Amino acid sequence: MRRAVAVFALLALAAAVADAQPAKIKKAERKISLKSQVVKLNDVIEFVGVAGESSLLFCWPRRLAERAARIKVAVGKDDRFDAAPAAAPLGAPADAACFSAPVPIKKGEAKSVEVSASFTGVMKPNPAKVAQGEKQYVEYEDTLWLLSPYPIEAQSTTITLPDEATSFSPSEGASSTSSKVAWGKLGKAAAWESKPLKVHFHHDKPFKKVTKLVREIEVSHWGNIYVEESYEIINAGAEHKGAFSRLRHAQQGGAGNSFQMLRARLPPSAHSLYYRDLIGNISSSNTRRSAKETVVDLSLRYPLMGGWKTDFVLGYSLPLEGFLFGRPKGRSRLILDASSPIDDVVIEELETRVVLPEGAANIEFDSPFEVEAGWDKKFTYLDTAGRPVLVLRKSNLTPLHNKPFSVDYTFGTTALLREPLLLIGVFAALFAAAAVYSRCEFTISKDDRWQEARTREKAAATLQRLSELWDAEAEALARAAAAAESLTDAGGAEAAAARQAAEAELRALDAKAKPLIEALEAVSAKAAASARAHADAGKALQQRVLKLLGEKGEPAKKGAARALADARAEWAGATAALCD
Amino acid sequence: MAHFNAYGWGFKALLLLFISIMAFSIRLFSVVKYESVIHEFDPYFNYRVTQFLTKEGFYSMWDWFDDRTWYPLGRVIGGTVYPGLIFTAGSMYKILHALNIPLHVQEVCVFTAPLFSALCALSAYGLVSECRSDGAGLAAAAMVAMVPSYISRSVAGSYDNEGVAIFALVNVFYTFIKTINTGSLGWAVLNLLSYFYMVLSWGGYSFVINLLPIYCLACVASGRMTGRHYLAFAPLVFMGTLLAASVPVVGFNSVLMSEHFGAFFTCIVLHAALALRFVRGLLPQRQFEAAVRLAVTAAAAVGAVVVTLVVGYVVRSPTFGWTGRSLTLLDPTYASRFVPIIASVSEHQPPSWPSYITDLHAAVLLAPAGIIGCFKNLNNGALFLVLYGITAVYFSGVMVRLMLVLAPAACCLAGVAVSDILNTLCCSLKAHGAVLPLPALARGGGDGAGGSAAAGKGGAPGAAARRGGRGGSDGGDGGVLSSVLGREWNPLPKTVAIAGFVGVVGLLMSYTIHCIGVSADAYSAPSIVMQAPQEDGSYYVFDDFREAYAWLRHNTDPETKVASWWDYGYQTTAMANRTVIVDNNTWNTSHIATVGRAMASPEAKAWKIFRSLDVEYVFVVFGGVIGYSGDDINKFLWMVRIGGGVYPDIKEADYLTKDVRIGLFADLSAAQYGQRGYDRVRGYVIGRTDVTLKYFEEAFTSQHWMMRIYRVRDRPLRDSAKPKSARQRAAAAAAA
Repeated sequence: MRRAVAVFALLALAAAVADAQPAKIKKAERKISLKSQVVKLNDVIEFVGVAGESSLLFCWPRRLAERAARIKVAVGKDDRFDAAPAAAPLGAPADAACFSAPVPIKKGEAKSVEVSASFTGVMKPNPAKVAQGEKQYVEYEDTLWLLSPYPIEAQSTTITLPDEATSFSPSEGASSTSSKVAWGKLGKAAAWESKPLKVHFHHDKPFKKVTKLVREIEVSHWGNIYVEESYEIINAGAEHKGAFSRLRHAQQGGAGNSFQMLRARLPPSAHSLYYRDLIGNISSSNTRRSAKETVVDLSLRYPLMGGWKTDFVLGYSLPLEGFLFGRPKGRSRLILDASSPIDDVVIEELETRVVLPEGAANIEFDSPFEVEAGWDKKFTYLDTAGRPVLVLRKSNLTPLHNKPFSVDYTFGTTALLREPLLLIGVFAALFAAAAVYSRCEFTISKDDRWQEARTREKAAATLQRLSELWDAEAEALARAAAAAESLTDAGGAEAAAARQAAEAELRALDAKAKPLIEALEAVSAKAAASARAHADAGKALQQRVLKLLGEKGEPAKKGAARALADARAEWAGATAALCD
Repeated sequence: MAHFNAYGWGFKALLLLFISIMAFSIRLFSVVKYESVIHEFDPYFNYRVTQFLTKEGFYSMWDWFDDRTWYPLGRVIGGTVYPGLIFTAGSMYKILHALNIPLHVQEVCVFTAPLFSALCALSAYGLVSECRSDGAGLAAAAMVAMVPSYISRSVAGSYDNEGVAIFALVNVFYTFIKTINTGSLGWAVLNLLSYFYMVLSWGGYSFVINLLPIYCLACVASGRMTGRHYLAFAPLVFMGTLLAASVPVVGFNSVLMSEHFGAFFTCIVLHAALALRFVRGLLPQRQFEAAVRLAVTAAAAVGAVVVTLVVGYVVRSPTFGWTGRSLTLLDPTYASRFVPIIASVSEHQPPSWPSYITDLHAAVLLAPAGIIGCFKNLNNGALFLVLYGITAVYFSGVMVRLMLVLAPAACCLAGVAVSDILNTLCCSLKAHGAVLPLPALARGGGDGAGGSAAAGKGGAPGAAARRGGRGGSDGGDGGVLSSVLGREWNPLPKTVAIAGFVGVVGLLMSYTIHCIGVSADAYSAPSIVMQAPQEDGSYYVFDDFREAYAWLRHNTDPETKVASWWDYGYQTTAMANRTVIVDNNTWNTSHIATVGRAMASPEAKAWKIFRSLDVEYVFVVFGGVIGYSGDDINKFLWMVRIGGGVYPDIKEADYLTKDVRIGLFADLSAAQYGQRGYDRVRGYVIGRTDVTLKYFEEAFTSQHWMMRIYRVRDRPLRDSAKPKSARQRAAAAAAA
């Protein structure tokens, strides 16, 4: 694609040359701000193109272009778009790196195009090392004219500095004030005409450079977004040389290019902040809260002199409100800032890890800048399958990159309940296991006490069942006795029938009791003996009842029945006693 | 208990749970007041090894040769460390991570000691309930849970061997007594494993392997020895010695050093005594006497030979077969005469009397009462408690550090005392029909009295009351106590009983308040961070140590060698990750002496010594700016003493009579400081205000000047480059 564009540009250029009325730059205004550690460049170009020309080519020395953090092109007032790298056309100097931006243009028409770019790490400290308390000087090199494939008719170049320049070149045509060097009227230049520009000046701003930042954003739909940012930071200014005197540092209040404080601006709802490193809390930070933001003043463990480095971790929590939004069809959208909340730092390498809840699917993201995306998995509390992690990598960022980015994904309610259910399940299983365990017998050697208890248990169970049978027997006897009483002499047949019925019932009960008594015998001879005696007593009662049923003559019957009732009651009482 | 008593069991479990929670949470003041961080010096080493373990695994740890310390000698970590604590924390870490609980290894380490303190309280309950009664057990557990002496070594963050070792110690005793009481082989095995864990955890295992034989001998002498003693003790001697020998740091010491001979000797005596008893059962009286005569003659002959051999072996060794540290215990003057490096550590000094009150408080009063209580009803367990208490008192008198061994003993005895006293008082009150909220006691005898805990504070009083209930018989409370105390009992007068009751509860309350206060104020400081209250109620934090260590970590070459006094060795390797010359594992005195000598020598000589050790950075700790009294100047005489012990050119007298300032050390402390001048630790203006360093260069000084790091110059500054000091100018003028 790029190649095609380049080829096309080349063809267009060739066509323009052939046309003998080449594209040109009528007027260019170049502004370079060196006030902070980020070089901000702003070129306003009045571009006169040829018909059909669809892109504007602009170039920088490769040394600069490689450090370009951000390039924006605006045509007119509203049209803003990114520039794409393009191959340098023929005739370009060897170290030119070019970019192209699509600029639709009519023949002979002039269009104002604004190219703005930021570069990091292009100011070189000179001298490279300074002792404590010495001032930091840096050097900036660029080209005086725009490095351009088009001839330039008029150009001005202005450089804004934090302090007066100690030297600059070329000196002809330049005017210098306390914080500015300007080349107002530079006149004409041919295509690719290049003249080195160099400024050397005092730069008192510390060069805070984060060499690596890993941001982990963990979303929990239970109401929290955890953000943890691990920084490795270095003072990228002129290196410190020689001794470090704490006394002088205290007296001068940290003059020179050193710094110790960083300021982070977090959302106003940020809470549960922590600021620590590998060996514990860094016990010096301050937090202020306002309606707009939470300002955290982070004091590093020690002042960073030039070339010194350190690391730390800043962590905080955010509520879901304002950061996580429900979308149609069960989708959620997470919106957060894409870069570091810390002021005035450039970031060499950024890795953002968005940890979504377990079960999140169909993940899409939208970033304000181009990133390299990857996937990972993270296991944390109560995870079984792991949480999907979206890993976004980008290098060379400036504070201007800190724009919101968003991640969209599907996450259902069932997935939300998965973890509590898991907990409930595990605990239920645990209790169930405990319940089963307590009902199992794992004894290998059965000692006497165990044996005794077991025997008693068994005997009691058997006796229990026996007593049920005997209770039934007592009832049957009572019924038979009542029948005997109520029957008249005349009803011989009836009596015989009742007798038969009672006999059958009692025999059945006896048959049931017999194996039980035998089982009891196996367990406890003593219990079995008393049970047998009791059963025999029952048998005797049976005989008496049956005899009563066959008896004739009311009075005899009456007396026998009364005696029988007493005996029956006694027997039932014995049953109860036996079972206790 | 013959039958299952749900109420008593559940209540006991609940009380133990509360005691465990209290034991854990009383140790969290350090996290609440400061932060979740590793404390002091030695814990940093343990932390570092644990980090290594969690990264590289158990086997690699055994083989780990640490080249970051004792440069250029290095240290074999696996062979020189008691791995119990590290393995414990490492296993907990692995288990947590296997369950996807991503705790950082530091958090695991920080909370290991409080966790094991809770376990220790449970073990103490087990021990005393075996020795005495459940009530006394609960009282002892509650006291152990908050005894300040133990808290001092087991607050959250104090990741030291003692954190798990005290649990291990009490646990060995518990399983030992349990084995004796039950005669169960299962408990004997558990006892063996507990002993193994103890050996893994702490050098203090030699206390166990000497106390248990003493106890067994006492049992033999007092005629209470049974086969169950053998069952408990013999596996410990045979299998225990084998297990101990398999711990690399102990190795053959477990059979070669005098610390273990007592156990072997007792084992022989135990065999002889049991054999005697067996033979006496077999033979008639006359034959038995003849056999005894024969055996005694033979034993005397064999014994003489063995004794000669052992004595010969022992005498051959300059320390009579004892390790230096053990000898320090047997002869308290030994260290100060021969091993200055042991004497230089403040925790190796004998304790002062007030420290007994601070560290044990009510237990100091109650423990002797507990001993008397134990004698009132002397069984196997009670005899053990008495012996444990008495030996521990002796050792605590030798070294402050061993107060830690005394603490559980004192608490167990105190638990017995509290239990007995409350028992007497409560039963007296009941006998008088006093109205007290003791519903369960009112029932008399049986299972009861658990509910009476409501009358007291925590577990202790309730536990004591329960004892009364449990020991009960049908004869009423007099009978209860008679059976407990084993003698006739008359109730105390009512007023005395009430006053006594109030007094005991008051004592226990003041104990609790004292413990919480001490834990919160005295023992929670991590010592790497200092705080000072500010006017607005917040705290100002002095975080200089970590500031300097972080600087070293980030701004020096990873292979840099850093020299400092040995106290800071562990911290430097753990926090700064740089190679140190000497550290807190003071195994090589001459190496430490070399550093001491350098610190005590003039600059040029010190420079040569440090260059010969490849040292690039030297740091000193200087408290003069903020009044931090634990700084190196206050340790300086020890540097001289230890240095002088090996290098005779360093003479302590020089530094006493002339001037401490003749060494490099003073220069490093005072460089550039003269302009401020006043030393707030020692309360005078520094005499030498014109220090100009020629061989060293200030590389970093922390915010409050506590840590001063110097770079050793490649070559010294030339004289011309050095501005002349006022004194030199004066000298030059005088010469002219």
